[in-house]
Amino acid sequence: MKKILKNITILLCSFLGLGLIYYFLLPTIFKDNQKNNEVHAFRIAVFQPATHPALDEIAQGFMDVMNDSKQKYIFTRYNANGNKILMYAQAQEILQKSYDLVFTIGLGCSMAMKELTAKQNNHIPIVFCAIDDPVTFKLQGKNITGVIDQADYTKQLDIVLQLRPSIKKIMLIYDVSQGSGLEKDKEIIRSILQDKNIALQAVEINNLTEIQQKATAFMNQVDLVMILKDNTIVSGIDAIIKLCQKYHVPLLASDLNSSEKGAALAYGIYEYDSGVHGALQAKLILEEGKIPRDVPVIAVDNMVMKINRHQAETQGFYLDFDNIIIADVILL
Amino acid sequence: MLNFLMIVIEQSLIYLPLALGAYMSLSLLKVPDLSLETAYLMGAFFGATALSYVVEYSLWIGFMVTMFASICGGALVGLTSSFITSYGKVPHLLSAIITFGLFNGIFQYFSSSYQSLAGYENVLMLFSYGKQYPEIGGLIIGCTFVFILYIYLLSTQLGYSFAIFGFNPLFFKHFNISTPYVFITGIIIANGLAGFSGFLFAQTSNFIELNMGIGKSLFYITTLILGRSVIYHTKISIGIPVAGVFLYFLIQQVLLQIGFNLQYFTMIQSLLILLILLTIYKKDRSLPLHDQLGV
Repeated sequence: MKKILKNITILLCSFLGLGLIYYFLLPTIFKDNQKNNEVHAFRIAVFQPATHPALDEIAQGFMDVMNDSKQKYIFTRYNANGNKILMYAQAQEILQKSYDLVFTIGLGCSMAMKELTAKQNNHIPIVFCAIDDPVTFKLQGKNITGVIDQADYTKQLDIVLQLRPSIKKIMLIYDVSQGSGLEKDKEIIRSILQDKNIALQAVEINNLTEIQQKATAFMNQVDLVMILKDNTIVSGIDAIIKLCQKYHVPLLASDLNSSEKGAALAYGIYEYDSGVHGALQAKLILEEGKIPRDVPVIAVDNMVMKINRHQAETQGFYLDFDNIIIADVILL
Repeated sequence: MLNFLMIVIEQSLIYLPLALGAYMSLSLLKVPDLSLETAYLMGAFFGATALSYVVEYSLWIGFMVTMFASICGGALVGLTSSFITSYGKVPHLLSAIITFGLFNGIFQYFSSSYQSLAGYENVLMLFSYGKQYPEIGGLIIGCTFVFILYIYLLSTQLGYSFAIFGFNPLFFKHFNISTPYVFITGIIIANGLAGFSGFLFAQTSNFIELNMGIGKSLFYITTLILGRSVIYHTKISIGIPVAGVFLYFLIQQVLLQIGFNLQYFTMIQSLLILLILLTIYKKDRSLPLHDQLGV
């Protein structure tokens, strides 16, 4: 009897031992196998305020560089279509979906994300892009870094005046409701032009439909129309191009993509490079585990002037194009 | 001076159909019709879509087809909002807001929020008056055509019915005439005109945009009040929207020429409305102010 009880006890202990091994050891082995077979994919939200080529190029530059690595990335793109209410709703959605990183393009999206993360005490890393002065807008924090894109209006206007010294009055069209430092840019341009004895006619608009009504009145009085890196204006540049063609006044844009759309002159950076720099920062955060605050903010400064030869002639900007000897000028 | 006048005329012609539409729904039918804003957008969208199909045809055919398409686009919005009002027993202001939401989604489903028309032939360039005003011929022909039809319509029995509806919506019920027929037809025509105006704007600016109709209500209310302040001796006159729209752009361009910052133009519009309502309307108490808008 004792022998039987002893055998049963040994058998039960063996089962218990096997059970414990099965319960604790096997899942670990199984999990390790799974880890070896699958590469963890980081989820990234790419957040832009509107659709226009410059913003799309930044996003493309970012995604191309991120995808150029062994690490797998899944991108979800958010576009507010120029609607500020939609922008905040999308920012909320990004936070709710707990992405590993948010890549924000432009001030509006970056500010929306920064404010929401601060309010909700959320530490999702934010990499911003296409912002000229993050300090003024207090776009700083433990979870924020990004790429600065500073305009150089002195050099931009110098090149234009070298090309056409007879310019006496410039019209600047910008959206006052953007609130992204465009007023400050206007004052900088005004002071540069004052030194050169050139008058500035500022035309403030609130939406694209106002361009035609407000700008037309001055088209006969100006020698050049200038636009800034203004999401509203750049996304709806067709109306200004049409006016410039109609009144034979050249258009000077502050982003290179606008030259392909029809601006006679465009001065700025290659937007794609901004996205590339943003991607390098994002990799430092996600792949090397750095805290965004410790990743330095980078400035992109590879500025060039593009001249759209056909549009320049259509807009009354006649030059001896083949004999331009100014550095950083590219003919299209 | 010539350039100044041409700008005023050109802008007035672009927005004249919208003012005529607003006059029909706000002044004759006396309905707070905000769906005109949506019709403005959808008219531009339908016209732009038609534009892509007429690239191989002559400008005249293109002009007629896009004009018809844009009127249909606006009319569709009018049909939807007036149908919801008549058969859903929903106040028209609410059905206009519902319609706005519906067509906002439809627009985004079929088009991107911004669409450039730069790649298409400009169907308004039928004749060119000088190099700076190549579209004026198309604008004059389009607006004259619409204007003649509008005058003819108002002289018919149906035209009178719109004004009767405005003064007494229950009138037709007593005579066994279909009230929804009068109401729906009026709103469809008004919105069709707004749609045509939207297309004229899109063609002259070379783009259509999701938010292009937003804020137009303040514009058409201002034009009607301005027009009424000039032609206030008669209760019904087609001169009201015509004078209103011309005065609106005249004031706007004068303000621009004297160096006024148009950033505050919306505020000026509101102040202008208030001023007219407090002076001219108060002086002549015989003026009709049956509806909430007073236009």
